[in-house]
Amino acid sequence: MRIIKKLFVLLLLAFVSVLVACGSKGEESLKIGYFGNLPEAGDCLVQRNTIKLFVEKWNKEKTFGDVTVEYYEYDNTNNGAQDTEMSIKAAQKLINQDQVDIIISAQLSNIIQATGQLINDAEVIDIGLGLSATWMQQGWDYVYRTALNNDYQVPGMTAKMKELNQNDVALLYQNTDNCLTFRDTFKAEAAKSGLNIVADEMLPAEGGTGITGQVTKAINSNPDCIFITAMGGSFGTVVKQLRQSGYKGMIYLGQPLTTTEVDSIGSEEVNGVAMFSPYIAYNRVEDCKNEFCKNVLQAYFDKYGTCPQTDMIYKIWDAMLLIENAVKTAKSTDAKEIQAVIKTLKFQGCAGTMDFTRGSNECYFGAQAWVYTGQGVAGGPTLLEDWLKTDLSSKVKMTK
Amino acid sequence: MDFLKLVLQLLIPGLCLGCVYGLNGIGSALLYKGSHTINNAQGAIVGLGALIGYSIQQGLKIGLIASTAIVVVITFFIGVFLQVFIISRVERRSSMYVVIATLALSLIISSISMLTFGSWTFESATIIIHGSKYLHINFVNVDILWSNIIAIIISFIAMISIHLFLNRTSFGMAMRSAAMDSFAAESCGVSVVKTRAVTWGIMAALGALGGCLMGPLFGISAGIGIAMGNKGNTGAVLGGYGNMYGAIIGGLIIGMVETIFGYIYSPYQSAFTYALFLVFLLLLPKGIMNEKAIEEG
Amino acid sequence: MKKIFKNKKIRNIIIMVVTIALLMVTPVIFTSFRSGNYYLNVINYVFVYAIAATGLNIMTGYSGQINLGGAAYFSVGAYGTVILCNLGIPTIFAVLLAMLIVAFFGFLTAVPAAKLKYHFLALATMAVGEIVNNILIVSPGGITNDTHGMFVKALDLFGLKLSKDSQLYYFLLISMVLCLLFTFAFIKSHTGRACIAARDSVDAAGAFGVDVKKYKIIATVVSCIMIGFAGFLFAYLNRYISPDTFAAGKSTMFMSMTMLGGSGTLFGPLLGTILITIIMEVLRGLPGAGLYLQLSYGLVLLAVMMFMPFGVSGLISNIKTKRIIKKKRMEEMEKNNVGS
Repeated sequence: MRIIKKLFVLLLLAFVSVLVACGSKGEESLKIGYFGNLPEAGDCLVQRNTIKLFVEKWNKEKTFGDVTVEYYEYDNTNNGAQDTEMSIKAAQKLINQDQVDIIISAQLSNIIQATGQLINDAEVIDIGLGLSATWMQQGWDYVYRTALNNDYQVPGMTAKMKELNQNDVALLYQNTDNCLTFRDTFKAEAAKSGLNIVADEMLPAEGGTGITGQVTKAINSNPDCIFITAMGGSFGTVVKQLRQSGYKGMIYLGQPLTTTEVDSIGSEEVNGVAMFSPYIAYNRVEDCKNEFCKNVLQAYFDKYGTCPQTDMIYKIWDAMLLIENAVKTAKSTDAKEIQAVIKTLKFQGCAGTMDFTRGSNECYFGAQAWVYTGQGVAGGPTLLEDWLKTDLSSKVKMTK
Repeated sequence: MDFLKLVLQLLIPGLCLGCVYGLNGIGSALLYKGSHTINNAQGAIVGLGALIGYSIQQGLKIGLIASTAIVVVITFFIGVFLQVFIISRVERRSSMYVVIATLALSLIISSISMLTFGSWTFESATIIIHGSKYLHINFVNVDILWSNIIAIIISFIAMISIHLFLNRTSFGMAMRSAAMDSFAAESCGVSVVKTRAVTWGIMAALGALGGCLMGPLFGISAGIGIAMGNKGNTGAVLGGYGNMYGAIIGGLIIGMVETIFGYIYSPYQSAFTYALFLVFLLLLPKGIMNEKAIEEG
Repeated sequence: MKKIFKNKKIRNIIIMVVTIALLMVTPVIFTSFRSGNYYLNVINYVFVYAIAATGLNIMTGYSGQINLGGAAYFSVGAYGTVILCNLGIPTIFAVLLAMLIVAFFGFLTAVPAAKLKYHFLALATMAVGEIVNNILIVSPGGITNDTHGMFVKALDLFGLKLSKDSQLYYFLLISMVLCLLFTFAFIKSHTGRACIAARDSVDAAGAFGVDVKKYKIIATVVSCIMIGFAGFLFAYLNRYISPDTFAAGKSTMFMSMTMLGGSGTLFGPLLGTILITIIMEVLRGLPGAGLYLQLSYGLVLLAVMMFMPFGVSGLISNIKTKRIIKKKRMEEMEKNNVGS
């Protein structure tokens, strides 16, 4: 009986708090929601900073006329890592309580995958920043991507390997949704272009220390080049160990190294590490040669005093540009109307023209090849083509 | 010869990893012997210590060994602080509460280190001796990283000093007596409060030492310690819980097994390692050093 | 009127009826406005976790064995049902079959676990959790779809499709009440009392002819089945399952829910679940607090462990005992005063 009384009180409390929580709503405003790893100072911080930068700018310059922009953010971590269940809860809260029009999901593909159905059913725009092909194959109308799908990233990479006569590839992968898809795509492409996979080893999750065995096996398989796909910020150690264990060949990456990692691994070790991406992160704003990207970095630097560590800045910047253009064109904050106009949009983004007119909810279809050169080497990362002409490339064994 | 080369390539890093697990294991063995609890916050402390070490290294521009020495002192006091102000209050009740309290501490400490240092992985500089990163062994034509060798040497020095401290100093003797029978020790004038605090201090300091030594090899991040703390505990059980020397041997075994499984079949690396632990626990419940894991009766 | 309220029996009946009525109309009221949907969803999660925590309580609270691998059984329940359902087996049989698998799996771990001392058990269960998670990540034949995760269809009970939170609510509520009733029956039964006796004193229980090991195994298996059942409910509530949800953090959460409410009490786990959910929701809602969500959660948990030795239930009964003692003392003092 006691417990029923307690329950009674709790229920009453719940009712009251819910009624209080849904007080006044309904002004004309554009609501943007975000969920990600809030305590983290990495990619998620860059995302939040950029969103805030844009929201402030929009409200100040009255970009959307009288419509004010509101921003809501929730943490989705459980024990320090982003978690699908917490993300689903955050998405529920954004949709039902805050009634947002647009949601920006953090960069992890499995989280976009987990929340996509929910957001799509609620007819709210979802902009994902992940690279995995999986969540684009679900046919969700409201889910968009402003990053490069790894389906478009891999063919260039395998073609380059073939061109440089690197036929034996050792594969190191981490077991996450994104990396697995990457690995599968890579294997399929490699089979098409006649590359041999000589080693296929799984790396432990972030923070794992058992990598020596895998690294040794990859090197002992005597490859021409090594391909690593792992969550950003967790595989600099693998690159370093490969080099320290005496591997002198080329290393291809699926995801970018952070600039901290590039610096601390050492310029000698990081030479010959290639990355296929439309854009790349720089230590200093002036290193960037692309005018558009340079302006992006400058704007971020002016506001926050640091240069972003990874290329996440370009992805989120493109996402914000998409919102700006879509809302302007639709002249409405209603998600349905915004969704209707997005497929007519074509505008300048960080990696050239962002083309949504193909109707696949994506905008980029090709990547460039970059090589990290480390600190101290002038100009930061260079294009692979330029790098091949310099004497830096002669220090790397192109084939075994 | 190739086989010998492979063995060396796997054995030395495995040994190095094992030493670090062993350092963590010593702490948990001492703690278990002293107050019959386990510490789930160890991993978070290791991460915090390693991050502090890296910041000191970058801020003061000093080498790995000097910064590690400073970190050991700092984390010792962190450990003492945690015991005196938090654990001692919980400890009086039941060990189940310590399990949950240390889990909570783990959350708190790792959040704090993430909020202060960020979540990036930092790579400590590799140790260079005589202008080279490697020790070349002509006999089998293999290069071994100095970072590995230094880590192994320092770990062994730390282990030996702990051994000497416990056996040759009066405070060490007091700690051992308090661990054996706290009531009897207290009546002989040993301050059990002090010995327990020092146990925590040593545990935290040894863990952080391991974390710092791993810096050049595995990078440093807030999450780096979680695996180390768990595996340290696991190694300690493998060796016979409560026995310091067993913990070292257990840690070494876990470190090497993990590296070798990584070579043999990497997808099930962690499953194999933990399965081996379970098998050991069930077939050899007294551990390698004959300590009891089975409940009487 | 006043007389009716003063009568304890009648008052209790009224409160009970009102509570049941409130519980029944909750989804109707909550779905009547949009943001209520969110809170209904939160309540549904409370039901699921309360079942898991109640299940864990049988092992930790009533049988005195720690379990830091609860997520393993939770995930076997969730993945088991979903995979079997995908094979075309009707839900009800899939659930039964999955529970059998969980029971077998629980038995496999219970037999050796019954021998182990407290701390070794903690580590052994943790190891089981890690192994199961590793197998979910790299499953043989890819049956769990690895880290891509699996989408879960709407729950189909004899052709009745439960896809909305308001529909699931009743199912989850009934499940939880049944689980609580089952736990109540279990602890009052011969087996349950034997488990409790074995927890309190191995030697004394042994002396009375209680086969300690046997009852520990029974408690573990029952506990695993209930956690597995919660896993099944979770899969259909979350509609998406992936290995990261069943990592070590979940085991810890179940343990903290049980401990926070008070382990070894019938309603403790439910209370703990409600409290943790409230803490998390309040923190999530506060602007700017998202940054410190994990930190504050840890602090609250630590504070409970430091200052509330027997969880919230313990705190409540503690206050009551104190009040009774105070009352008794006052009475005694009055008596003494009269005497003099």
